Amino acid sequence: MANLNEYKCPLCGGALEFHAGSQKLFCPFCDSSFDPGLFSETDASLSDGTSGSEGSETVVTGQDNGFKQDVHNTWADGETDGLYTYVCKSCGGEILGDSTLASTMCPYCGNPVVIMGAFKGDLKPDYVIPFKFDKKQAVAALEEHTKGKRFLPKVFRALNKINEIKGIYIPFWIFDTDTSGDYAYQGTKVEEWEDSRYRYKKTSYYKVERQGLVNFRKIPIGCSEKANQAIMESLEPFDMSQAVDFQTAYLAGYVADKFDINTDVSWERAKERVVNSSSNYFYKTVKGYNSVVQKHGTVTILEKSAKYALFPVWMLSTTYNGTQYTFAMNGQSGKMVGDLPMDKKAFARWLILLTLGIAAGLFLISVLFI
Amino acid sequence: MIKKIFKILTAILTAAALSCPVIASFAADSTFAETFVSKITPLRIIVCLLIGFFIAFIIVSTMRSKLYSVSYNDYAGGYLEYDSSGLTYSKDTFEYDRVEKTALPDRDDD
Repeated sequence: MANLNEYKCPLCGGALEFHAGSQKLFCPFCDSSFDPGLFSETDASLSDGTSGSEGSETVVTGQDNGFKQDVHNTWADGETDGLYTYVCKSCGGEILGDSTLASTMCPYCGNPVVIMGAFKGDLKPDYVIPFKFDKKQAVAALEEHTKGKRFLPKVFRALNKINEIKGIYIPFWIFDTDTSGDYAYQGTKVEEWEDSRYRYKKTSYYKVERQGLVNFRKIPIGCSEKANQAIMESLEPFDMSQAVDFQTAYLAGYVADKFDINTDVSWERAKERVVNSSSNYFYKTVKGYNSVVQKHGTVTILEKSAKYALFPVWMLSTTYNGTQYTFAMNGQSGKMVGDLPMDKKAFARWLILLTLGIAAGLFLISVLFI
Repeated sequence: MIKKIFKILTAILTAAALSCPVIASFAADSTFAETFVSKITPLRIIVCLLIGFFIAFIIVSTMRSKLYSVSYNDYAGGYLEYDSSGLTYSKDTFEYDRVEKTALPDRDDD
């Protein structure tokens, strides 16, 4: 049976939860607060292994030497069925979870529980960014998110009832990479003049070559199948300067998942973003031309490394007209994202009225002055 | 951007309203009515409607885009370490020129 840990108040024995406002573990029963560092001994059973890895490859040739140290998600005996049950220490209730569950609340007594086995060995995160915004602020942020949207159905705002709101620590791979780029462009300069008989246009063609080093630090790539990747990328940036060394105490009161997408898969996404940004970087160095066309470009990955971190996200969901709408708030910066429904009638009304108004204005001006 | 667009629209309508004295002065001219009516052609109306629709579509599309905030981030520019990044080789080489000449229209000599 997996080792469950519950953080109990040393004064009254109540279940502690991590409080975003004070950044401490808070007892809702006796209003006491405790620094998470006081519970660091609980994590002594976790090894200190970090999930760093290094390697090199060339984009063009496709030869991938891979990471020096691959991260393996090894399963203990009996943990291969995909569904696991845990027993709450407080009430004895059964907690059902999948293989990625790392922290949750007991559905019977509401006690926050941390599944220590989810963080053992190579599975231990290197960093965690604690929640800075609480549930009330997340709900307020959603209300703010729906304001000022002319095409949002008024009924949506009126009937907006949140089905579910969860504070989740989403697992991310954090990539550092050093790259070198080799790009060639064709630039053109255009000059025009005329004499008494002809108009002349001279186009001068240049070969433009650029090489250099482009280094990236702390690119976050979500590594949970359950987390929508587009939503996670929309929530960026996360300020890594506020990240702290991982302690399970920060998870108390929140749901947490461990990664189920390994570094190799996540690295492909990071590489795509790195190559795009490298291309952009070198393109911007070509100045003084009327037009610039890239002829060839190569990005070589010199070094790469990965760290494992948990980032705070508030997930909210609401249902409107039978469709579920998911919203997410960056638990550190407060940035709220989520697609909203559109009132098609309002859209059509605005389009028609604006068309008629602008057309009338243009007609009047054209009749008077043309 | 929406505020800018509305300011422009307001300016257009204000100009139209301010031109009312101009219209009034035109109205005193008996030929104005005939000229005005003669300019109301189907082509003019259609062109104004098309341009109006094009501008209106851009405006409402911009307003609609506010509803959608989820998208993939295809770049990593925010994570670029500028201090350790830079060019190691930069060369611009002239290759060739191409000149095109177009004859100017004949001018009538007096």
